[in-house]
Amino acid sequence: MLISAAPASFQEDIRSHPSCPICGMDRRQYAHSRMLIDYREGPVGTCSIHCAAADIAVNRHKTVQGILAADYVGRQLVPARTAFWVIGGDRSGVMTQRAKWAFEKQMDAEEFIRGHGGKLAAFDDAIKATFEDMYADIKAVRERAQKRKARSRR
Amino acid sequence: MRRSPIILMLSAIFCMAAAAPLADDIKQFPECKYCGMDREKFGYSRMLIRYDDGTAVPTCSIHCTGIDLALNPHKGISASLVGDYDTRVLLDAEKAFWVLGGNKMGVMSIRGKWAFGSRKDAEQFIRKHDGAITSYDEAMKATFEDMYEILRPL
Repeated sequence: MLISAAPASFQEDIRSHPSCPICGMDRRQYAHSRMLIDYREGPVGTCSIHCAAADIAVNRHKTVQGILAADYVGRQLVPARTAFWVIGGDRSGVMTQRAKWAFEKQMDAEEFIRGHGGKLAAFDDAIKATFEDMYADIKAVRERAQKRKARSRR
Repeated sequence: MRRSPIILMLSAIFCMAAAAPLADDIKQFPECKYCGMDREKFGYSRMLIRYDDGTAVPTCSIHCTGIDLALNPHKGISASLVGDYDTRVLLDAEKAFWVLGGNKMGVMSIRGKWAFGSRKDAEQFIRKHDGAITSYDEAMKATFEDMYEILRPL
């Protein structure tokens, strides 16, 4: 599936939030999975639903006014709650083994599933799956970081 | 009634012996890094994570430790320590006998997650309060699953 270059105005949040505050990853590179949490105290832009969930967990005292997720196809931000989510499939997830992608249109989500597998889900299912996977995903990130560190020492 | 100086002195000695000395980690880190709760009060659920880079993160519970792990996935861990539920002595969290659930409300979570230095103590807790013996990995996995329940009204 082609990830087209969306108009620049669609990605203004990348200019204002270029890197994920949790993992430091480049939100332009992960524009297809990025999220934006609209806290009353100020917005936070993350690379993925994994880091968005971590940020919300640590900022329980903040008021969430809205959550936006990038449309996997067009990369524009759409309300996460009304998006069509796909959990799983053969495409590697961002910060997770089990991918979670958002689509503005159900048709696009179904086309993705036909090409790559996965299961159509609601935002709540995607958040639940994110927390279910979180510890295993954190351990996987840590192991990769340790391996990289060991290689660089050689 | 007049008390003899000897009785008063013996009473004072007894009181000093009865007051348990404050654990070093609580003296050094009296509050949880994330929620600010008193680690002496929650000495029975507190944790201390030591990272490879020499930093230490004191928390009140496995819940707040989970948050720290989610925020620092790239950092190598040199030690994960947890307070024994009965004695409050810090134990290796990986080797501890964890009890998940039971009728005692958890710290920062509804479902309790308690650590014990011996299987016998864990089983004794279960006889009184229910719950099931599990590993640190499973307790941490449950911690993230429970975070979803807390954040569910999103």
